[in-house]
Amino acid sequence: MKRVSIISVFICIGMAIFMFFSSQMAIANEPIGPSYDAIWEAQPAKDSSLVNIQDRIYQSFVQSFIQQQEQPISEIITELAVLDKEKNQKLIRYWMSYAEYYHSIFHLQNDNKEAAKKACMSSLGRLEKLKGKNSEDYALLAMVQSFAIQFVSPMKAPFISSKVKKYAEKAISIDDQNPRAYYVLGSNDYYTPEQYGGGKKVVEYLSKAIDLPEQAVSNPYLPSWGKQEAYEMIVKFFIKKEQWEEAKQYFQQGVEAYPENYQLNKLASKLVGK
Amino acid sequence: MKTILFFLGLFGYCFAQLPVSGKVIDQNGNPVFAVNVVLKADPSQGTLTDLDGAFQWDKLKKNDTLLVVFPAYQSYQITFSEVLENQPLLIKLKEKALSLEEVQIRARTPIADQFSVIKLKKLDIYLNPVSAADPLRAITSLPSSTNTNESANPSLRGSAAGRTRVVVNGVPIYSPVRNTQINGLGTFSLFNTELLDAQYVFASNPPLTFGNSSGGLVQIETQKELKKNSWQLSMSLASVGFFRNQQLGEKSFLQVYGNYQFSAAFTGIQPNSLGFLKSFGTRDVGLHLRTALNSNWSFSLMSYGIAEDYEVETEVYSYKGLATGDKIRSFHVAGLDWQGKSSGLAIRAGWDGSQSNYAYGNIKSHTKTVQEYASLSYKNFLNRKWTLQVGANYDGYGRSFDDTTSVYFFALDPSSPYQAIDTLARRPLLEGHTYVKFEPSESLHLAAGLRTNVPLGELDPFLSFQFSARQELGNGHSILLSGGRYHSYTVPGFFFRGTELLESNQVAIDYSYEGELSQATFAIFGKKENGLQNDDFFFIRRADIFGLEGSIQQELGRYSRFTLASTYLIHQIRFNVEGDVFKGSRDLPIFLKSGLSINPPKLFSINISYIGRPGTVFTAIDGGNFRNDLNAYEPIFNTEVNAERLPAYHNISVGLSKYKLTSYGSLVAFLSVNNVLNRRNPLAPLYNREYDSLDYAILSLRTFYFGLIWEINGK
Repeated sequence: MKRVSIISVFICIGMAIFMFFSSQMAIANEPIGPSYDAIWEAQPAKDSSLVNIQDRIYQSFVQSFIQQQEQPISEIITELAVLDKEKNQKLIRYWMSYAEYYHSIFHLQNDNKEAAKKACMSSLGRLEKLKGKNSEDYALLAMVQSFAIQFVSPMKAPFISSKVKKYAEKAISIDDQNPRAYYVLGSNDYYTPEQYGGGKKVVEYLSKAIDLPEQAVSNPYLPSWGKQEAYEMIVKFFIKKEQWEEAKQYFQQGVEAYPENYQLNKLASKLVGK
Repeated sequence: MKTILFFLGLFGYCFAQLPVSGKVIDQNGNPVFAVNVVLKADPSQGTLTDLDGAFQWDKLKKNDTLLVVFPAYQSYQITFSEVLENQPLLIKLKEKALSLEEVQIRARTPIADQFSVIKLKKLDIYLNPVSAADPLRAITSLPSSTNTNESANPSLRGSAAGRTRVVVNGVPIYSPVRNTQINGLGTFSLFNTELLDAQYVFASNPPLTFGNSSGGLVQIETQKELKKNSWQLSMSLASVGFFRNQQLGEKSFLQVYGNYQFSAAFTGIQPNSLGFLKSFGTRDVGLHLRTALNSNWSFSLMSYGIAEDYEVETEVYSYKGLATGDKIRSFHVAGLDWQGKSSGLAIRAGWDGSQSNYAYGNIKSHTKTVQEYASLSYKNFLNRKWTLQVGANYDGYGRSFDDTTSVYFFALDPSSPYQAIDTLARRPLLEGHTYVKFEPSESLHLAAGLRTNVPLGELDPFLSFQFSARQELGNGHSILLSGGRYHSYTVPGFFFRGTELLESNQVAIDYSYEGELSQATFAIFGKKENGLQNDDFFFIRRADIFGLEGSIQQELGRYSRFTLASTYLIHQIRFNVEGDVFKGSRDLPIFLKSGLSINPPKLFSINISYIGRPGTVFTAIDGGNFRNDLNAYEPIFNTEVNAERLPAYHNISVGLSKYKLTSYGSLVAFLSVNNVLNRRNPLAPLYNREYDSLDYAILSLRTFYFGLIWEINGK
């Protein structure tokens, strides 16, 4: 009984910390629109699995990683596939591709390159087939295409890189307030070797991604990724360039906006004493 | 009491909450999921549509307005007065209008982009084993290229090179190659690949946004942005050169280059391979400037100048002698673009001038050429589905000949009779066009075009028309159907100085597949060409062409790529529209092109290419009649026109290169060996003085070429 009580207290403390940081994140990102609670209240139960779907996919990936089993991430893909069969919504296919992208990362971390490639190509194929792509579709397509570079022949890498750029620019052309498209452009420039002209626009693109709101109108069904990743990448870029002041400045801003971001927090050790 | 009730009622009315429900659909009637339906005054209050596009909101008050918001769609407003109790709303979202950036990207992309058979980027050209880093030579490895003389001047799908147009930044450049009269050297184009953004190849059915083409079309677009400042210095067996990339502020850049080409070392170490070539030399300089004047206007300029000379031992019929030539040429292409919210205006101006001298036997030719070009085109993006372009252009071409030519085509000895012929040829071409593109979905692209001229001078009028349809079939498969009637005028040349109207009726189906590790293409096409044109030694009035093309490209492991292309071409000619049919000079039952690239990063890159085909057809000469008056034999042609074939052509070439990163930039060392097997590939039949012994003029034997390119990164 005592053990149950202690566990309950820890769970409560944990929930309190989570709620505190969630509220901090909300303040940092200044979303406009209904709160997630309001959505839960307003929506019929059949859509509840899609509320905050981006975070659910990420948590499934983390679970897969911790458990060293693909079940959590593959389960959410199956769940989405069933829902898509029933409702035939483009947005569901977007999230299936997003989940498959994480599925691919899971396999890659487990050194199963063949399975990683299969998952990545499945994600890419689904996105390419989407009809009437909007800015978000193009931004994700650009990100997955960029990730796919590692699975193709190095001879093809420059061509894939130009495809990434084309998709990201298309995303911006449709919605120039989409931070995810700028993040992908920044990432593409970050990974392009300097002798091929890479690294020149990393700061321009990533700082643009950081300056934009995650979403124009708060919407738990729509993507909000890109901004946290932009913080992490711009800090890494300045560390690489040994521009410590800029690195520390973006690190500070980043952890204030996203205090729980593990990848960002990990960079602290590289900035200590600089 | 009544008053109290009235105020209570009024109070109740003012704060009444009306339930509102409805369904959100897109333009095709499909429900839209995850649409925000929020209060305009306080967007933190609201709801979302479910998977069926349905929403419900119980708290709508008087004076409230609801906003329906979803990415890529126009916002929709619902006022209190529009809501009727228990009456669900049906909201149809409309797509947002094109953003300025989208318009700018669409304006930068050629309107007929989707209808080119292939689009080559700079890297495609550098990685092409047969291109020798030259943009037009890169085309010769495509299955649609039907060049049979190792020239860079593109001949596409069986049409003569003169029918195919090369257009740079919207301005046609006639005779786009250098050293055109040196047989066997492997001629190069006038263009520097470093300047290139993209090269679109329309193997047939050239888009009618450009004029004066009745074969294919090659559209070259120069760079739109510069990635870094750098110096490039090059040195090889036959040339030294430099290239400078310089940014000028944030919105402008300049590229400047120059080369000096010399022959002493190249011909000196391999005199037996290039026995016919005595000397050659070129000096060229160029610049490319691009600047954004403000958010709406941009300007570009490309200027180029070249001086070249050569000496070649040439044999024509039974006369053998030294041909000497020199040429000085300069061209300039300027563009001014305006970009509005949903439309764009493009103004182009071009000037191309040259002066050349040529001497061979009793022929002496001095020519001056001037081309003036101006165009205005207006593009309107009516919405995401419709694009309209209208335009007009003036293309004036003038050439003066101050010549002496042989009186008899077979008597070229300096002692044989000759005559002076001075000619001034002019072709003032004024044209207008309309081109409309309709894209009902992302996977279907339809286009149609019309082009006509205002007949100036003695030019005949024409009306060209075309249609194109491309369907993306998914998983990398696509199919293109195109057809139409096209017109061009002959460019006045030494042998034919007129401006004859050429017509071509064409239809083609192109299939392509692009997979992760493989690419494949297949095409079937037919053409009927009318108009007076030369085909090898003959002037013809009609050519019928039918062809099949196929190609595959396969990645072999991480660092290797194999390509194979094959073409089957029937080329039939007639001297009169309804006359007898003979084989044409590009009648080729098979034309094979293959390449293997191996690029292990820690070793050398190796490119091996093979081109093989049957020899071209020719008309046999059965003997000669001695003419005392000319001191020469007159050939007696066999009555069977083009019934003989030259021996087959086979060429294996190998290129090796090593790329090394250095602290200041990079260094590339290269070695290429052309015609590794040292085959005597025939160019044309060749007879002795009496016409009783047949031999062949040959293309170059095995030749070596090597050099270094040093790139230094700048700030």
